[in-house]
Amino acid sequence: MLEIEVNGTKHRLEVDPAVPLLWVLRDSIGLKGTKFGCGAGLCGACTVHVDGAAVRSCAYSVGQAVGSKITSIEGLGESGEHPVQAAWREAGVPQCGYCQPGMIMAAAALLKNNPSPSDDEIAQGVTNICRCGTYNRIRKAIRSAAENGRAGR
Amino acid sequence: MKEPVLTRRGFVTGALVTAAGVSFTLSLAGCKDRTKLPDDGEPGVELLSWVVIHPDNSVTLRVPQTEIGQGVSTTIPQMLAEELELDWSTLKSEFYDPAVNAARENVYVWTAVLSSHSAQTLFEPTQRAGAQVRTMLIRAAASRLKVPEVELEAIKGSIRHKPSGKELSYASVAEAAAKMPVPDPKVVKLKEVGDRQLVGKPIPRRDVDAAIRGKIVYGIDFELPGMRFAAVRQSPTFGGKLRSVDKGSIKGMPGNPEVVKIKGAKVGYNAPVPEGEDPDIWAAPVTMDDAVAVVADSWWQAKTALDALAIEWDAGPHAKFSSQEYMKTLAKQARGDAPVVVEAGDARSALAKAVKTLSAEYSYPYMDPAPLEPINCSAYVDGGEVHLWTNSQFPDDAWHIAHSLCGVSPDKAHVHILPAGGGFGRRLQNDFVHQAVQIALACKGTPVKLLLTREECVRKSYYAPITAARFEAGLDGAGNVTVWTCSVASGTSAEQSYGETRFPFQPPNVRFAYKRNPDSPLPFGWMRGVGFTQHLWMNFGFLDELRLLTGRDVPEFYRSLLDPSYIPADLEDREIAVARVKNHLKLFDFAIEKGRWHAPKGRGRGRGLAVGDTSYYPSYPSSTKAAIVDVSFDEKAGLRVDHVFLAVDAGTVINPDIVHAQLEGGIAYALTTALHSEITVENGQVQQSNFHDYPILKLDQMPAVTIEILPSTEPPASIGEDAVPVTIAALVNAIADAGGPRLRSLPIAKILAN
Ligand code: FES
Ligand code: FES
Repeated sequence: MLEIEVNGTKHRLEVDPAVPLLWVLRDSIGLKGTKFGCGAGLCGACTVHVDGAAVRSCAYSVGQAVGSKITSIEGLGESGEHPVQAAWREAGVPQCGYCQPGMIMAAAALLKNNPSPSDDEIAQGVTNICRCGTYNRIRKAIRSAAENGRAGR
Repeated sequence: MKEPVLTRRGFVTGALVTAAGVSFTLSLAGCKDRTKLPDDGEPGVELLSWVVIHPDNSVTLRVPQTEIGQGVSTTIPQMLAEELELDWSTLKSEFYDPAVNAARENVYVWTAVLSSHSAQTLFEPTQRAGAQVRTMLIRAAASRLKVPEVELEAIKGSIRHKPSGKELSYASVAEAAAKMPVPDPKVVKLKEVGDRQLVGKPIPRRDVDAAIRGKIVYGIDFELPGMRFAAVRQSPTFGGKLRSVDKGSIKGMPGNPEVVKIKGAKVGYNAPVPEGEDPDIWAAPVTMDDAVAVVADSWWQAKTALDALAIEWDAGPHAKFSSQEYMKTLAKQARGDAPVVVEAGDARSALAKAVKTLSAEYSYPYMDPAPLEPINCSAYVDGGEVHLWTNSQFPDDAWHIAHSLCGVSPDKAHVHILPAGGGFGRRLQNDFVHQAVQIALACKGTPVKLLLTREECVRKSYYAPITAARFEAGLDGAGNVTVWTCSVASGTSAEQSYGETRFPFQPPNVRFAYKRNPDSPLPFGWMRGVGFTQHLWMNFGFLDELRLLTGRDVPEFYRSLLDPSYIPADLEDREIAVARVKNHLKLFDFAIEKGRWHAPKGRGRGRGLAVGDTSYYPSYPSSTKAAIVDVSFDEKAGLRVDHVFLAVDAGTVINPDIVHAQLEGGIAYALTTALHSEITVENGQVQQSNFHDYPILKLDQMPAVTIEILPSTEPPASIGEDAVPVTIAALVNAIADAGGPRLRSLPIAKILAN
């Protein structure tokens, strides 16, 4: 039995601490917004925040997350009002949409640490894969979220 | 129940002829079962298979394609709603039901996500269906109000009586409308282009909000109470067989794991095949090897048990297969006497007479389309019924697999379509459907979800075919191309000779040879841009090599090749060829100007240009596109793609923002394909397994992009795949122009690193 806190709610779970956080979020807690793409920390589709930092949850055991505050896409902005989501909506970023929760979580963490990143810093900071190739809109949305100065509150 | 029938004529000529087909299919739908409850149980009245009007006056539109990111959940409602006069904000949509499509003899016209066909094929039928439904609603209102039809108009979900201002909601007349005779789709009046409210507008995608909140339920997210989860290991070699599996090796592991053996099979074909066509030419057989599934209470438990499971494989006939060795075989075939598929003039003597000749060999590796959402499918078999929840790109075929494999009558197979996290052709092969149904049959009464790991997806995909090509061409003293020959050999593939033969340029003497090896071990799959992606860059690369011999300037050289007078007088279908080069020339000139071809470029910079279409055969309608790619190249710093300009003439554009997105995405896809993608096989096994050794372009490598759409009122043409072939073609020539190597094989990043 272990306890984790996700989006402000505590969950007591009967689960092996070695299970990747991704599968606990998706299957034990039912938060399907966090996606599985590679299972090896390579694509970022599973990105969540652990104590505010972007973490690839497929390569992070639930045991490691005990005692931390976890935020998933569902907890970032409940109705999609987080400034990064607003910028994403404005730029019309998603195609298939599959990578987007992870992208948004990565971008939100980046902007929290660095409210006005340069293009290079954006490129170094967002290393997730979008197979649909929405990168230029992602870059644009991050810039505008940064400009609006609202991100990273 | 009959299988959907697709006529070659309908396929070939797209929108125009399909519209005529609709009068048949719609009126047929009209005599059968016209009023029925929508599948989700929400009450409403169905009108002509496309529209359901609910009591609260909200409207559901049927989308006859799987959403894989191409935007059909927005563009098809735009087309349907244009003539229907709906309130866009209250509109809902649902995916079509393949069983209904079959029962109504392909009423949805084009349901496979294939050939970038959604707008091209559905524009006319959906607009006409919208106009028919509107007409029926107006007629019902006219008889209710006892006024002439001309005094009525449809506005935002209501019928308004113009003289009195009285309004009736669609919902209030829907039942009566459903009983009205179905108007002839050829006679209903469509709006003038200038009056359109939805078509042509950059309306935001209807699924944006759900996407950014993580609320889209993709195939992988679907779940039912009591569901069990399957992890799958397929034969590591192609054509291998399962020898034994030791169930004892996972006994007592958590999640009550149970082992299900999946039998290899020929699943079907990966495209709808028109009546009378040879499926082995039109499409490629989808074969699937033996596999083992472990089914458990959670997927992680299933995967963990599968990893521990002792499985023995018989490696089969291809145990020693090496893609590197195989490439040598193909190159030899291309050099030898591959069967000639197209010939004009006398290539042999023209080569002998040429002032200069050149030959070169090009090649293309195996590739995996690699959509980001791993392959999955949910299935449930019980009580003589089968249900599937899938994001297959070919749901009609999934439905066929479900009922035939379960041996139930076709109307007892229910396919529920879910959105996909990308497709790019991979999901046209329904191996995963076959596997999921086999597992569900072994677990009757329990819903199961199959999900593959990324490693399994990479190692057992359906691959763009490995290809070798040999070009030889000749020039006259003035630097004109007098003869062009190309000989191609490829692994297992659908007939893709169009990749070499459908180059728009028409030298007077040509010879094209093409050899497929249908029994090579790796199965073939469609991959975004298909044969054009494999070949256009080779054609342009070799053409550029020739041009360099002449010293002629790029635009002048291409213009001379696109001059109608260059097309041989005795060419078969010459008129079609002339119209084609004229389209190319128009777009080419547009691109040269808008893409600033003549703008200065600095030291170490290179610029490449390509123009093309995706016209598979002479009467096949296609959009035309041109790319200008700018790169920086330096022996030490390597290659950087700085800018990609793309111009496209795709006829009427349904949604310019979605077209831009598809083209931007196509450019990224092209760059991954050219720079990074390669599947190699040694000892019968794929060497790559995940994104570390099968990399995908990331944000730091994404160039600036400029897109120009040529305004047009012609019927819509393809978009989804179109950026890929021209971008790769322009890229290889830009690299040569920048002083980099002449690239005759891919992937570029690997070649430059060596
Ligand atoms: S699924 Fe976690 S990084 Fe890809
Ligand atoms: S939007 Fe499809 S993978 Fe990014």
